[in-house]
Amino acid sequence: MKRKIGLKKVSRGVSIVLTAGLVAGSLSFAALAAEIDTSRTSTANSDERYEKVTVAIPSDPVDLGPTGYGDNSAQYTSKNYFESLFDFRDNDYVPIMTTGYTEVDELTWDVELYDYITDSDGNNITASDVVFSYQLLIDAGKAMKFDTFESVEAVDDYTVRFHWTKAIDSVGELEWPLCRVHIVSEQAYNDHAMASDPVGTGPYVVTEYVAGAKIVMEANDNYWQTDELCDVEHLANVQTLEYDIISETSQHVIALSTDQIQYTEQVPSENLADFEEGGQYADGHLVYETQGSTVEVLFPNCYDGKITADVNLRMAIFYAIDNEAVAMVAGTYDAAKAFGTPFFSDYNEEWESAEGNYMAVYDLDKAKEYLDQSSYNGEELVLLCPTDEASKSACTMIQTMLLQVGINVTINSEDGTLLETDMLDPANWDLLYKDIGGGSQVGEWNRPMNNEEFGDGYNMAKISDDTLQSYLLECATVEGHTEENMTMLHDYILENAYYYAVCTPRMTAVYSDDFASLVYRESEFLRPGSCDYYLD
Amino acid sequence: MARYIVNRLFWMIVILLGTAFAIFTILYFTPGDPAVVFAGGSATAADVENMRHILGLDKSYLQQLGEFFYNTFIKWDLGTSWAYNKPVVEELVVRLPRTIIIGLAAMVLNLSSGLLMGIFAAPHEGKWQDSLTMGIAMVFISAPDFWVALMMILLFSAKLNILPAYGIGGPRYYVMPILCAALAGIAVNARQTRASMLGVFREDYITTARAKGQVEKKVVYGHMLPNALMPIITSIGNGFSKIVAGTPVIESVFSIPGVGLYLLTSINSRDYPVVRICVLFFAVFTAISMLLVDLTYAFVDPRIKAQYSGSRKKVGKK
Repeated sequence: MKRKIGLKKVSRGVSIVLTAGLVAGSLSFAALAAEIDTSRTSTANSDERYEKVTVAIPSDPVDLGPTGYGDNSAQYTSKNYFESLFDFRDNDYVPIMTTGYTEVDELTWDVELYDYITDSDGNNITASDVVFSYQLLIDAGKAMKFDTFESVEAVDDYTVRFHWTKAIDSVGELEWPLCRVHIVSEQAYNDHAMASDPVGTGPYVVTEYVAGAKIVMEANDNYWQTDELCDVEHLANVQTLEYDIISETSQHVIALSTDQIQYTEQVPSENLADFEEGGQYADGHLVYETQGSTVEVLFPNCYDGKITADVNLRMAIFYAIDNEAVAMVAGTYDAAKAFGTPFFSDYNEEWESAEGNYMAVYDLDKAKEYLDQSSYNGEELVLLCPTDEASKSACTMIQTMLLQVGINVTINSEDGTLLETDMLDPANWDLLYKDIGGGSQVGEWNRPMNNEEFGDGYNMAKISDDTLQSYLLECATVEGHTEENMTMLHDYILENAYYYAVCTPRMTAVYSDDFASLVYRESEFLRPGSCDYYLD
Repeated sequence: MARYIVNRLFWMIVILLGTAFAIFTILYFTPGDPAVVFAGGSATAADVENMRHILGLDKSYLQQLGEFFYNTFIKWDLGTSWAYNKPVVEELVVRLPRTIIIGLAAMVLNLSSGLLMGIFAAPHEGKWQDSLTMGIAMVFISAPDFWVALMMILLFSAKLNILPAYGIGGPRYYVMPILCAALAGIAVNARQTRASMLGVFREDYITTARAKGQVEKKVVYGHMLPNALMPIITSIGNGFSKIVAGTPVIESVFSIPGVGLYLLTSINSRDYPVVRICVLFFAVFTAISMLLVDLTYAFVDPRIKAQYSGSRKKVGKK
């Protein structure tokens, strides 16, 4: 049963030319899974909204409030009804609630707000609301990556002054303080139970939330920004937006096939063919596949005294792994060819052909040579990994491959919480299989490499290497974020066999062919309101 | 009888305190740091430490235990979910009706169907009617509920498109979950009823009833069934306690936000306030269910009733 397309006239009065221009402008980050049929009427060339879109998400965002604890599902939902001062896009800060920022000095920035911002309750957002929102986040213990942030104060009604702890010189250094703090009015916060009844300034208003079941939003007809200045990711091309929480992946397939939902990223790889040409549910559906933003990494434990601290053993392990085969058994994955993710613009394909790049080579003879030079004597290595099927399949494959060269491995798969705790103790593992991600390539490297992240002087692989640290910090600076420096760091990793990027997931979306284009925030999270829809 | 009930209520308090202590201690020593979860995957060590302080996890075991007992049993403050950021009771009250609808309807279904199947099978022991009934029961008990759920979804949602595949809404949304939740119970009750009925089948009073020329219907429903009820009541009592605990698998497959799913996700996310209160709530409900089962024993079996009455008389004599 195909959902009827809504032709409900909305009174927002977005001009056809403007909307088309905005959508065209958004094409740089919009995913065009199929060519747009320009002969058809769509939300881009009409002043009407699509009636309703239902997007399936795998888990409940649980806390819809401005300090929500950060479940991945919240990344999909919260930005529809909350906004931050800036958005983070292409390693840059895009002003949303502000006209921009002024550097008073290297430790002080002034940010001027639009003076006509209102939330869905009609409260005018002022500088004191911004200060309140920051304090709210800090008090809730959710102010992550705020090392650079010292304080924020209201200078006048519509200007806030940020004080930084140091000069801003790193790429994306202010992503969290500027782009991830949801701004709410103090009045609305006091009037509403934000966890289930949020009130924000975004283009949508939450009208219903059934914990564990669904979130329904309606387009905010009184959205504060003018049509001329409205950001392309903050549109409301759909009147009603529903997020259905469906934990079972098989249910996503059924829901799509019965038109209960119009978009999901949770269709199991074995069912994708059903929605592709010739498949039983192909009619009315399209499949969009793109490079994911994370990479699965094998970390050898380099802590003093660990058997895997031996570089020859690490080399033996890495050369013994055929990551093409691992990617195949894991499902919708591609083998990684360098320590990074091609998703990011600062990833360099030349790293893939670098000399000694064990991630691009599967060489059992070399593995045996390195093993002979190592101090390994048949010890059982503990491979710690998450409990999801893809990770377990990948690790089983790695275990088999390592056994081929005589390295014994025991797999210990743990749920996310336990793994996050156990990986902090070097005694618990020899090899760790875990995904990493970030906002850029150098951002992605930060978590596994930076030995200041875990507070014990060691990084995620239990490495305490001053050279690695200095290379990383240099790459993270605005001036040092160069191809040359990043290549130098990558070569250093190869030389020391510190990390092995196994595979990168493909993001696969199955969606209704009523979508003319897909728009993603940070190239990752669907913005249904900004997508273009066919109306005829 | 009143004294017996008071005595049982006293023991319920002891059980409640014991359960509170046990669940707190088990969670305290469960590996996996909640602060790591709630701080998020990008948190630094300082962020995690700050979160640990906010959640009160940096206090000693005895301090945390004392606060938990004081808040729960003295202040009647049942806590706030760390994940949902709202009172646990508030969420429980919203979710409980959904779980009870499924649990109660499934229980009525499995009780009525199971009893009928058992009553039908027992007098036909060894005949085709018995084999057929027990064969069906065997299929019901052998098929895992998640598999049955998926098969039902394929048939009724994907193929026939007559029932919604997931979510909550009108009565149609509950048809498949109730059927799935009832199947195993139908089989258990059918087998239990059949076995109990066969246990009294050759008793002297049944032979006497038949010798007196009573019709078979009267023999079965008037003499056999009342005497075979005791084990069936026990089985019902066990089923009754499951009504509020929910069926996490069914709730998960059909995406029904009930109590079972609430507890399950809270365990996975280490949302301890939710886990503690849910477990305490289940303990209270189970204790009450068992008390009701014991009182029903007395109602059904005159020998037990006489025991209670006898003890009261003895007390009176003293």
